[in-house]
Amino acid sequence: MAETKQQVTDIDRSLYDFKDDESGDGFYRIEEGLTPDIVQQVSEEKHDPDWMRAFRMRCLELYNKTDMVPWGPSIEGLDMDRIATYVRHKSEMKTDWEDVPEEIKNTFERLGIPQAERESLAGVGAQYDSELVYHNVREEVAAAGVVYTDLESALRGEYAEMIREHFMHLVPPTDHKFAALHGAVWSGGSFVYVPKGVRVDIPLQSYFRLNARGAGQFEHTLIIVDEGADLHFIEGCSAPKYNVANLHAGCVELYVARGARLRYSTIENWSKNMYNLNTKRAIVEEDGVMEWVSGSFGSAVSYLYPTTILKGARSRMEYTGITFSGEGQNLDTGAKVVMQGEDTSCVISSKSISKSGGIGTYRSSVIIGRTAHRARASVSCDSLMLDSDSRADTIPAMEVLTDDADVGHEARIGRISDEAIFYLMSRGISEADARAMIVSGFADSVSKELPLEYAVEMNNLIKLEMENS
Amino acid sequence: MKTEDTIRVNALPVKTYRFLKVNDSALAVPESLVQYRDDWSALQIVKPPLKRHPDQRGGGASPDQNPADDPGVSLTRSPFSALPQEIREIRTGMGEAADALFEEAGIESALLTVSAFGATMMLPAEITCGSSALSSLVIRMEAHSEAAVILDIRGGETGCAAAKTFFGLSVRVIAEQGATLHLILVQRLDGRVAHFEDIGAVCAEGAGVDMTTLTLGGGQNHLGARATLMGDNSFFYNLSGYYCGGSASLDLNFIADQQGRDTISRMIFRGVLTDRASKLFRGTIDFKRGATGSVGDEQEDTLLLSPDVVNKAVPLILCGEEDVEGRHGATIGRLSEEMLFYMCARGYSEDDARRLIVQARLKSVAAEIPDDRLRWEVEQWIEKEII
Amino acid sequence: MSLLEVKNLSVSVDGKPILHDIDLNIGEGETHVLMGPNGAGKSTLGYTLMGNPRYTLTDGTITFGGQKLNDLSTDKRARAGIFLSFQNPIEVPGVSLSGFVRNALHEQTGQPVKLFSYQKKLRAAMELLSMDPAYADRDLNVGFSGGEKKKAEILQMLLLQPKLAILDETDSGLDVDAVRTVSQGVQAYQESKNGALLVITHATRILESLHVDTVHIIVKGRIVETGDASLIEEINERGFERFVPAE
Repeated sequence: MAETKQQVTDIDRSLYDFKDDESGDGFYRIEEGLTPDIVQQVSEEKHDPDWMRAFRMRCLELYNKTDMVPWGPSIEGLDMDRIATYVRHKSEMKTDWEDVPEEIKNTFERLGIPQAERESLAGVGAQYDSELVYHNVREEVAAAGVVYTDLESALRGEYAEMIREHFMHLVPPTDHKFAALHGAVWSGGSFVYVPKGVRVDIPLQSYFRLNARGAGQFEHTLIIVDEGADLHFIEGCSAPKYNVANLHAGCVELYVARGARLRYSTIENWSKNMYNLNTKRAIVEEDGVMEWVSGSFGSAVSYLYPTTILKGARSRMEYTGITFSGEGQNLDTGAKVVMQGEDTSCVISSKSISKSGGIGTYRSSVIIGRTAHRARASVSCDSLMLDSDSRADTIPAMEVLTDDADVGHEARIGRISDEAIFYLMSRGISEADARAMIVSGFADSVSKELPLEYAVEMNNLIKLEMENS
Repeated sequence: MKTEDTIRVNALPVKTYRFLKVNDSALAVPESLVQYRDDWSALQIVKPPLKRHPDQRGGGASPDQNPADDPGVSLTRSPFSALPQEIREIRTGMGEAADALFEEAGIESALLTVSAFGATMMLPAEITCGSSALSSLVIRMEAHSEAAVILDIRGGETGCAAAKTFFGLSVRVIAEQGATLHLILVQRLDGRVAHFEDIGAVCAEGAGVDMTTLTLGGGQNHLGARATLMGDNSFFYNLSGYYCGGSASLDLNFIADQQGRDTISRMIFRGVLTDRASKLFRGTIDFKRGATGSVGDEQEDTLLLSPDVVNKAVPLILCGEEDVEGRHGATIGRLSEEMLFYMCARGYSEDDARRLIVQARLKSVAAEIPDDRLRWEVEQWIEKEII
Repeated sequence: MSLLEVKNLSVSVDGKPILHDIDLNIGEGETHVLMGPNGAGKSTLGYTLMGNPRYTLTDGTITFGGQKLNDLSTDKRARAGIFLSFQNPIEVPGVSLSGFVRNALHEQTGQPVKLFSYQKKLRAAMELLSMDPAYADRDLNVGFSGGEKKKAEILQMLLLQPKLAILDETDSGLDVDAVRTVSQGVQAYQESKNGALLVITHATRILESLHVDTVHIIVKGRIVETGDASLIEEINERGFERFVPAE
């Protein structure tokens, strides 16, 4: 554990100047290590079409002009200069296995991750044979007409037009500072297109693409599920992902067409030096269904609010999430939904665990517009505090602009009940195990939404977290 | 005395997404504010204090003073700036900018000191049409005292030709050990009055404030209340009812700052929005580290009766202590179809059913008014005006 | 002429057809029983007769006292003299039981209700139903136990004196004593105004003390048999197997 703390505090802050005292509001002025030249270079290396190059440059401008938001966890420890280096030298960026923090290595050990995978996850290894697995999956679903490819090459292929129409339209670079940054330096990521009426039986997993060139930090995922189609996409994995340059500013854009269904599951366990400023957004047409399943365990700081726009009539959204904030972590997560169509509905169920000085914040926004007649929204957030060094804050917000909506909201904060511990101990279970069981039970609503092997991994992760005290 | 045009009030203890525009609110303040001339020195005691509670040790009276000389309730005046520091430092719901208005306008505070047990006092405030006034009330509840203070705010009648009427009220409370204050605010101002109620309370060990607010009038309404529960076993109970119609707005900011051990906060909000009214509710339960054994509960229930209303709610729970229980619930929407059907099945027309339910909701808050005459008056008002 | 005449009635809920081609006639003062297995559509008939907006008439007519009810709103049907005792009575916070019924009477008669005589009737009815008089001032159904809610329904029926009372699973969830008390109330209703009754149930306890004129068996939304009180015994002994079509 000491290792991790060291990791966070050793970042050299003299590299940049952070506080803008005049504003008094905590706005940050970040010295830019990211220059137009660097972005230009990246674009050339990727053989971007012209429109993408121009787009990147515009985004860089926006990024430089935009301020950081005045709420949420501090991003003081964010190493912006390394980002520039990373972006420029990405292809040569390799860590020495020696430099990988002990804690990460221990987690690999505990979770039983094979050696080759470990190196890949730690950014140490070169090719990893998950490429093979990935390849096989592609062929299987290709038979049904499903396109599952890396986004960069798709930009130049037969889906180029489709991508151009959709790329960063749902999450425009104007959205916030790190959406702009993403637009400028995005690299890697998946493009998935599911044709009309196609039901993809096996979940597609981004894990397969973990080691692809440029994977990880600025990935852009674009998924289009056409009318009546059905897809389950799984992002991430429970094994910790380690990166020297400590920013993850990814972007996920999901288009759910009429009558289609998309389930997007994420288990995020970025190493605890990471700043996870991720933007995920979905737009759902008539009778479409969007399901989010989210387990957040890693990062030092997280800003993560999957957003859903329920545009079409009778569209639906379900969000099931759990966030585990441990020592040195400040995880600010939640969900946002905008209800526009008639007879739309959403259910948000969020759980949060705070331990060992961790800060867990649930933050959400439910907006029911004037046209969202008969909208039904139900929000429930439960927070579990495991000690008094930690914090659990719940900051939900609701805006209702029509009188025929039905909104219910509930939040609870508390601790593990002594009775529950006593009951389990009376059955011969040690106190530590009892606490771990209860916390696992608390996370049950999320783990049961995941495919079995992920659920097992998630539970192992929780057990591990509970042991680290 | 010139004051700023707009000040920021009712700030959320912790900010959130800016696009929601709920982090704080703007309050437009008239150029010159004057002292509201109240008649509170007449001390309308509608229910006299009982014999002293056996636990009381003469309240604030000095040991030499003959207990018979201490009336148990007294009212004095003091310029706001001359108030003791502990009173000036009380944090209020609306925040420092609102507090500053009183100091800048040179407002004199009415200081009500209660050492007795069981008294009920009525403090009426009749606002003159066209006036721009501020009123400051400070209530010191001495150890083991208990009283009910009712503020009956009315005025700014229809037919008033003057442009704007503005009335701001500040209430600061210090509840010393074991004291309980029942604070009741009934507001029936004309629908064109801009009004705010800025409340702050500090509660010592075993002390507490039990507040009831009933907002039935006013145009632009701001209501902020902050209870700092410093002592162990201190408490804050609040029941707020409101009815906003026309183009009225209601901007609320309630904060229960729970610091001591075994503190309790319970805040209930029952409201009705109709026509083009808008409401922004902020409610915060803030468990500070060390507030072990504390409980916080916040319930918000809003009825929406027209498609043009705007309803925003930000119910927060902030927690730095493991051994607490925090809960909040909110329901927003129309009258349940089931309930309407049930009532229609008993012969009520839909309109009658709706009226009955809406009135019942407001009357349930009016029921807490500890003065029979006022309570009856308010119930009549509800029956007549709420259609 | 029948008091209630239901002809060719078909009903859908949320687009799903539940009742098919129902015929039912109830004369003044008669006691009819509608029995069937769970999910047969019994409650649907009750809600439809009362005019619940969620239930759509896709065919047929309902006539009450010579007046066609199809398009009449719920409250007008209540005022015409139909009463529905809910299977799950709704809580109405802020409105006392006493105040609620008094207002309802006012709505029905159009005349103000004299307080004193009303309170006498209320007390008498509560005594008949062994209800604690304190319930008169409690918010209607709020925090009431299942049994007390059902009693409160019968209490309202006694005070509102409808021409036709539809009891929807009134005995479900009640213990032996409560069933007996409720039955007393129902009997009192029958006797006082020669009220007609439609008892909807899937069990038979509440029927034991009532004089029953006609029994209708409903299965999967259709009336499969109509007969006299002897049908009840058959149901008691052999359940609904004779009537449930083989799958």
